[in-house]
Amino acid sequence: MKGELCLLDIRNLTVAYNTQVVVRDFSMRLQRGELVAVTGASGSGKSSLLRALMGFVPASMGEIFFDGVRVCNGHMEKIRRCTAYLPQDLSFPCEWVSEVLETPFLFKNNKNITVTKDGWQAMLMRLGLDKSIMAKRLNEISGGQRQRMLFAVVAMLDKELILLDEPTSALDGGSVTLIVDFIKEMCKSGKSVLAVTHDKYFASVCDRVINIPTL
Amino acid sequence: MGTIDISIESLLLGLLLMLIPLFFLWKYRTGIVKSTLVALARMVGQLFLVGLYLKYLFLWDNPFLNAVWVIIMVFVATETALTRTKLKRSIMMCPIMVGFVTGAILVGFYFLGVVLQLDNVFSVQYFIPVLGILMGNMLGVNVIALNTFYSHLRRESTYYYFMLGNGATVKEAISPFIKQALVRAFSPAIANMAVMGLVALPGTMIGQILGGSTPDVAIKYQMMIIVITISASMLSIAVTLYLVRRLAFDADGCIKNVSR
Repeated sequence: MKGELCLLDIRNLTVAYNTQVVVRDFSMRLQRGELVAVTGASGSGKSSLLRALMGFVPASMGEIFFDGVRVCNGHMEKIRRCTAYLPQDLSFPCEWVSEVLETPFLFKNNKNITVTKDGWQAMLMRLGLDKSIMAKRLNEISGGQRQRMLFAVVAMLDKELILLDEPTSALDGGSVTLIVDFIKEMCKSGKSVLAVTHDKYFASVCDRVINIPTL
Repeated sequence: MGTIDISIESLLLGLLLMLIPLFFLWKYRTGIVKSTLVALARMVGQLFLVGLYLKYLFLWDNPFLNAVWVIIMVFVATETALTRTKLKRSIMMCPIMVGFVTGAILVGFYFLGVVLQLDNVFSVQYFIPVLGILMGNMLGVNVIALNTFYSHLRRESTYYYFMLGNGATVKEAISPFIKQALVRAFSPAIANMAVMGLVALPGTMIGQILGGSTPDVAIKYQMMIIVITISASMLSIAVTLYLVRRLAFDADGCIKNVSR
């Protein structure tokens, strides 16, 4: 049913690359306003789970329900329209920070989101970044700054469901606290966050932790 | 004023100049001496064959045969593009071929019919050289553009998925990669156009002057050749990439494996 408390319902999901199964029979529910961490050893299929939710890897078995509606392979745009996604380890085909920050807001699906220069400055400051970063080249900023820059994009998109792949992997202790506080605040305002993480501190502040066993 | 013919003996004397590059390639142990010799032998053989069949095409000047010749050129260019890009024939053959045909026909016939105002656009003297130069340039540009597009899309696929995952359509998510491909493929032609006549005298112009045309006719043809090659190449790669978007991604925008 649309508008119910459960935003994301994953039932018996199996993800495979050709014949190699990476996630088997995985089920979970994510409530509105909930922050859930998915943990597991390297290669246990955590990132593949997020990729399957976005339709980047077709689910070979199982069902995904978003806001009460079943989402099928071939129609993943439904879920993507309401989702913001932070992948791990990005390399960029462009040169400038401003391009990465501004491009998602030019998409047809995001045209309704208003972003102002002041809004960007406030968001960047909130994440411990100086506004001058917008005028920099991508190769002039550190890995931690990149991660926070991408998190700023995800936060500014203001979507119902936020999928984060190792959101703190390149951050120092202080920056982790900033991000964690920010994510908690987003959840308080009704956003649902599903984060794949190795970070024990990050997992400890989540509402729930789900461990994926290695196959 | 006719062109002085080059006798076989003179041609052999001219080919001796290749000893200069071959010597340096051998001296610095580049490992490409053999491939250079093979390329030279292929060039000589292929051009003699081209000379032979062009002789008959010019002798018969038959519109149907001329058109068949261009169709053969399209097939050969498509095959060459597939070989040089190492892309899967089953997926990429159609986009590349349709791109070549569109660029060659639209721009070629515009030049022959509208600019030159020929009564018979299939006239062998114009049709074969113009379509030939268009095919050659389209092939070069397509190979660079497709290689750039796919190498970056593979290397930076996480950025592509980052954009898809944040609301982009496939068209929006591939646009940075198309931008890179176009910049890479067209930069040499644009740079070349900017110094045309200053740094080097271009091939068409030299050919026309050697063939007996006056310099003022030669420069006009040169200008037109540059414009039609860039336009046809752009049109062809635009059509190819449009079809690639339809055929080389699945319904959810995932990148299909198109490499061999």
